[in-house]
Order: sequence, then C-alpha cells, then structure tokens
Amino acid sequence: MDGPGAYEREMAVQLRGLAKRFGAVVAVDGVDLDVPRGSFLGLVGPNGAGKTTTLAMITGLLRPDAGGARVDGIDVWAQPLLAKARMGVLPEGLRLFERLSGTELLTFSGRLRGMDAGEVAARAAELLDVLALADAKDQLVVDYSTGMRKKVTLAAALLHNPPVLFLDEPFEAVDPVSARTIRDVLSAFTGRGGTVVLSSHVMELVERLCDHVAVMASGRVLAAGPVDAIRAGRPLEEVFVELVGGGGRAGQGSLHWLGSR
Amino acid sequence: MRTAAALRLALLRGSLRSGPSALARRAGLAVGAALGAGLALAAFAGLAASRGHGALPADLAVLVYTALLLGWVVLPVLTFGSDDLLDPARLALLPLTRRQLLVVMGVGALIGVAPLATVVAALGLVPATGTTPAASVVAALAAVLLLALCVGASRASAAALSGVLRSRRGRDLGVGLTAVVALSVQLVNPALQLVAARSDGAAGAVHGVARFLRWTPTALLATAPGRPLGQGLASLAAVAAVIALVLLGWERLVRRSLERVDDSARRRGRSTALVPRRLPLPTGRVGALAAKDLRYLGREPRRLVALLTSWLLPVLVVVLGPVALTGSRPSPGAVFAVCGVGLLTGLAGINRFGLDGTATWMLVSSATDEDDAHRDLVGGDLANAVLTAPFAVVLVLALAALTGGWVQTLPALGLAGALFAVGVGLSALVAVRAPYAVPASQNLFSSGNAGQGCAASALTFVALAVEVAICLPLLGLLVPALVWHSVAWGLALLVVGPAYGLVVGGLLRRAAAKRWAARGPEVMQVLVSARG
Repeated sequence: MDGPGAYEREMAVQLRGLAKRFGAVVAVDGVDLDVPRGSFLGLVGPNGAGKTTTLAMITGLLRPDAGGARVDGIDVWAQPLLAKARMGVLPEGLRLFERLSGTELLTFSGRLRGMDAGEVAARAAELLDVLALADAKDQLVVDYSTGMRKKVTLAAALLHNPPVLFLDEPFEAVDPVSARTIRDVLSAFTGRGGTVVLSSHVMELVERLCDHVAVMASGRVLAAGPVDAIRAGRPLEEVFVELVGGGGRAGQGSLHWLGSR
Repeated sequence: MRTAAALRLALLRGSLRSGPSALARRAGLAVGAALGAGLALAAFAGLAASRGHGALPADLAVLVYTALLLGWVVLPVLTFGSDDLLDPARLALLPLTRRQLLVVMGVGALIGVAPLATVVAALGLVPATGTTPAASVVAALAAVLLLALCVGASRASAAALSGVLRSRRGRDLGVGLTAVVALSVQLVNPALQLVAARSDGAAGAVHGVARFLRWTPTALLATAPGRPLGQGLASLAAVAAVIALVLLGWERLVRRSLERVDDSARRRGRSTALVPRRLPLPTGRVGALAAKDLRYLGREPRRLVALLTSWLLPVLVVVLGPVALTGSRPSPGAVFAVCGVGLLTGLAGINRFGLDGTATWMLVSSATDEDDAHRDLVGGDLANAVLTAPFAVVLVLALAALTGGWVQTLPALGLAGALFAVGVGLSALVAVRAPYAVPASQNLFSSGNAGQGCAASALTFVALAVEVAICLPLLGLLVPALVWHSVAWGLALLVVGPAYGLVVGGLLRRAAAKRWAARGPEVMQVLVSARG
C-alpha cells in the first residue's frame, strides 16, 4: 500500500482484499473494510463467517495469504512490529499466561510494553477495580471463569492506552453487570477519539453499542457502514438474517414432532 | 450388568477411535497390554517356580499381592481423568440410581487389561502353594478375593480423592507425584544392591518384608493356602469381611462426592508482586519474562519436574550408577556430573513457545522491534541461569567434598558454564524454528501425538550433539588441566569456557531473535493448529 493520504489518515483501520485459506477451506475471501477514527464498529456474522480469522490477520497474529491491513495509518504486514504498538487486542480462543494472578498478568503485560512500573501498578489496580476483578486479583488466572478471563484480557488490552482496540467476542460469558461496565468503558474510549472494532453475534448489543456495523458471512463482508444506514429503520437482526440468508427453516415443517403431545 | 459392560467397552472403543490422540492411545493400549501381560506372566512364573522352597512361595506371594493392591490404589490417582468410569461425578448426570451407578463403576473396573493381568498374576498362588487339592481351591479363592479387594480399594480411594483430583491443584499434585514415583524407581537398583549385600541374601530380605506385612489383608490371602484348612478359610472369611467394609465405604464416598460442590478454585491466593523483590532482575521486558518463568516454576509442576530431572539425572547417572553397578564409591571424576547439568539445563528452553502454548500471542502482539524479540529470548535464559548457576556451584562443592576431587572443580564448572551458555542460545534458535505444541494435559506421559514426540526428541538429541561439538575446542584447556592436575589451566577454563559460551550462545540468540521478530505469526499458527 502507498503512504497515507488525507482519506487514509481519517481511517483507523483499512482492509484491502484480506484473504486466508486453511487447506481446502476458505476462511476469509477478500475482505475490504474502512473504519473511521473514533467509531465503534461491530463485526457481526454467523459462526464460521471468518470474524476471528479476520481479526487475527488485522492484529498481526495470523499472516494473510493475500491483501493488506492498515491500522492507525501503519501497514500491519509491512511494519508489523510498529503497527502492534498502536493496538490493544482481546483474541478469541487463545490462552493467557494463566499461572499468574490477575495483578501479575497485568504487570507482566505492562512491562512487556516497557511501561513504567508505577504507572502499570496504578492503571492495573484501577482496571481491576472497574472491571470488578479486585476480589480475584490475587487468584491465579487458571482458576478464573470464562467471563473473568475475558475481563482480565480486556484490562491487558486497555493497559497501554492504544488508539485502536480489537475485541473478539468481548461480552461472551460476561455477567450483565460487568457487561454494562465494559460498555460504559468502551463508549468513553470512543468518545475521546479511540476506535473500537468488536466481533459479536448478539445483534441487540451491536445495535445499542456500535455506530458502525459490518456483516460477514462465508468469509466476505456483505454490507458495511453506519448502523442507521444499514438497517434503514428496521431491526438489525431482520437485516442480518435477510443478508446472511438461511433463516427460518424451523417454522416450515421440520422438527414437527418437537413439543407435540 | 450387561449395559454396564457394554458401556465400558463402548468407552474403550471410543477412546481408541476418536480425536487427534487416537494413535497415541492405541499405542498406549498396546504398550500397556504388552507390559501388563509380561508382568502378569512373570509374576505367575516366579510364583510357580518358587514352589517347594520352604517359606519362599508364601513370602513371595505376600509381596506380589501387596504390590498388586498398591498398584490398584496408586495408578488411578496418577492417571485420573483418563478413565471415564473412575470418577463418580462424571456419571452424576446419567439417570442412574446410586446402586446402578456402583454396578456400572464396578463392572467397568473388572473389564480391561489391568484386571486380567491381576487375575493371572494372582493365580500364580495356585501352583506356588497348592500342595493339596484343598490348598489349591483356597489359593484360587484367594486370587478371586484379591481382585475384589483391589477393585474395591481402588474405586474407594478414587472416590475419596475425586474432589481433590478434579480440581486444578489436585491434578498438579498428581503430576508431582508421578515424577516422584518415576524418580524413586531410579533408587530401586541401588536398594537391591544393598539388600543383596546382606548376609542372608535376597530370600532373607523377602522374608523380612513378608513378616512385616503378615497381618495385612493381602498377606492373609497369600498365606491362606499354606495354613491348615480351617485357619485358611477363616482368613479368607476375614478378608471377605474387609472387602465388604471397603465396598460399604466406597458407597458412602460416592454419595458424598455426588453431593459435594467443587469450590477449590474459590480460595483466595496470596498477594504477590510479579518480580520477586529479593531478586535484582532487570526492569522491562527481560525482567517480566524472567520473573514469569520463576513464578511458573512453583505453579506449574511440569516445569518443576523438567528442571529437577535435568538437575538430578546427570547426578544419578554419574554418582549412583557406579554405586549400583559395582558397589564402589564414586571417583573424583564424578565432579564432572555438573557438565551434564549444564548440557541438559541449557536446552531447557528448546520448546519454550510450545510450553507457553497459545499464550505466546501476548509476546507476539507486544513486541515492537527486533530488540524486543531478543529480550523475549534473554528473559527465559536469565531465569534458567538464575536457577541453575547456584545449583551447579553447590553440586560441584558437594561432589568434591564427597570424592576429594577438588582439583576438578574449576575445569568442571568452566566446561559446564560453556555448555550451558551455548545450549541456551542453541535452544532459542530451535524454539523459534521448530516449535511444537504441548497439550495442557495433567498427564506427564502424554505429549502431543506420538510421531511429533519422536521428532521432538530426535531434535533434542541433535541439539545435544551440536552443543557438545561447539564446545569441543575447550578440550584444549580441559586436557592439560586434567593431565597435569593444574589449577592454572583449570582457572583458565573457568574464565574462557563461560566467555566462549556467552559469545557463541549470544550469536546464536541474535540469529534466533531476527527470526523470532519475523516469524511470530508462523509460530502462533503452529501452536494454534495443534491445539485441542
């Protein structure tokens, strides 16, 4: 990709023809996507749509077969080490250093990035407190529940205050109270100019939280843009099912025995 | 009953067929079956051959029966989680009454390699002590009762420990126990040498142990055929009563384990700083990674076991080997065991990213330049050195005091330092170029799939050879130091050896860092695709 022009500078994330196949399976099939600075984008799609693979390629954890990604103006695959300093990541399905306690994990994460020890300690304590992990801060992460792991990973992603956040299913298995807190934290983050890209398959959540949405299915982006433009007055779920297709087989005679006495 | 047997067989078939580890499981079953059959036939033949040697058949039978019972009680604890019918909590959701549940678990225990091998070994009592038809019948009954006792005791102990073993701490403990058992096997040979050195020989030792055990249920079973018929039957009846008690206890324990909730994870931990305050570790990335490795040592038993193995194995081979083989004191050359320690611990990080598993993403996504990648490699090596250096010094001093090999201490430490420093650099290069995933299993003996394990150990052997080859030039200092017993040459090796190792190892690590900075995603892909 060329150096950033005026349009590029306005975009926090730009994807061009991003593609990845695993053996015979095409996971991501040429994704183009622009995410303006300060926006809150929800990446939605059914299971297996390629959301996690796409996010892994944007965050420099998985090398794409083709195409490119730019984060905060930096080409992720030309200058991966530089680009990674600009993002906070909450990946899906990857482990943490689980034999550390919550506090230790955040200290570890901060020191990996060369942050000042006092700053790390203060931010870590605050994040653990806000995310309701203060009681569990001295427990080993290996003993955390799934929701607690999500929260401590989110804390690690926020710790170094990056301009762009990539969060893969951040609300999965998180209790409603914590989910509320996370929503508030993320909204405040975008309010101050930060950019968030999160994946989810909960439409209500994306509708309430995000100002931009990208619908993915079978490795492609079917529609992307401001939430209001995409749904055009209808519930997002309806638009999503229409775009993705394959909705409502259950009403048409299959599983007829279910519930009959 | 039939359903229970069918369930057991279906589980056995399923475990052999499905999943990525099916091949390893099949190999495991084949090895287990061969081992079980071999041990069982050996025990049977040994017992049969002892017939007519005075008190020996009964004494030997006491040992065999007790060993079988111990095996039944201990092995399930070590392999907990591999047998679906062992843990009552696994079956808790099936629509079974408690009595049906006990039948399913009991029948499950009676089908397999272990029970068959047990019966074969136990039936050795018949040819050993069956001097009359009545005694033969009593011996056969004793063999059957032994199996019942083994099954009952093994299920009861598993049920009693089910809560503990299902928790993470309990599984960690199991890994530690397995290592202790594996290491103590190393001590069997020296112990046998000591026993053989006794004036009354092995038979006397066997008799001594058998006398010590004479009131245990297994001894009552083993000695029953040798007693007058009435007494023999009475001891069988007594053991039958013990079995009934054990089964009753098992029933209680199963009920308790079904009703109790596992809350072991809820316990609060102690508040700790990541970097131990007493250690002057550097700040930043290197210190964080070194501190992480040091913290992991006490918290992930696999790492502790690996470290202790590479510390103690050379000592066992060099020091205890001669004692076991010849009964003689180790020679002053034993001081060089520390070179083995340097050789092995140098390669401890040969699969450092595989050991951390997919958590490695935290390193990949936080490295911002090639120096960061270099720091990743230095951090682990620093932790390794902080642990190994004091141990090496203490070991050398202890061995020198034991053997009088004070002249050897300087060249031994110098050579060990060189091997270690070269080894850590070499291991960094291998870790980046050929990582392989290690499953987060509680079982020490399962390491990925079998073929991968073979390739990995082949790689380790090659690395060991390269490590030694790189250090060959140091023979130019070692040989004079040994031939002339020269302190000056020894001192020279103590200085030049580690310096040489640091330079060569440093170059290797730099090359590794270059690749690591570029290949993070490729390493991640290996770790992710081998997951599960």
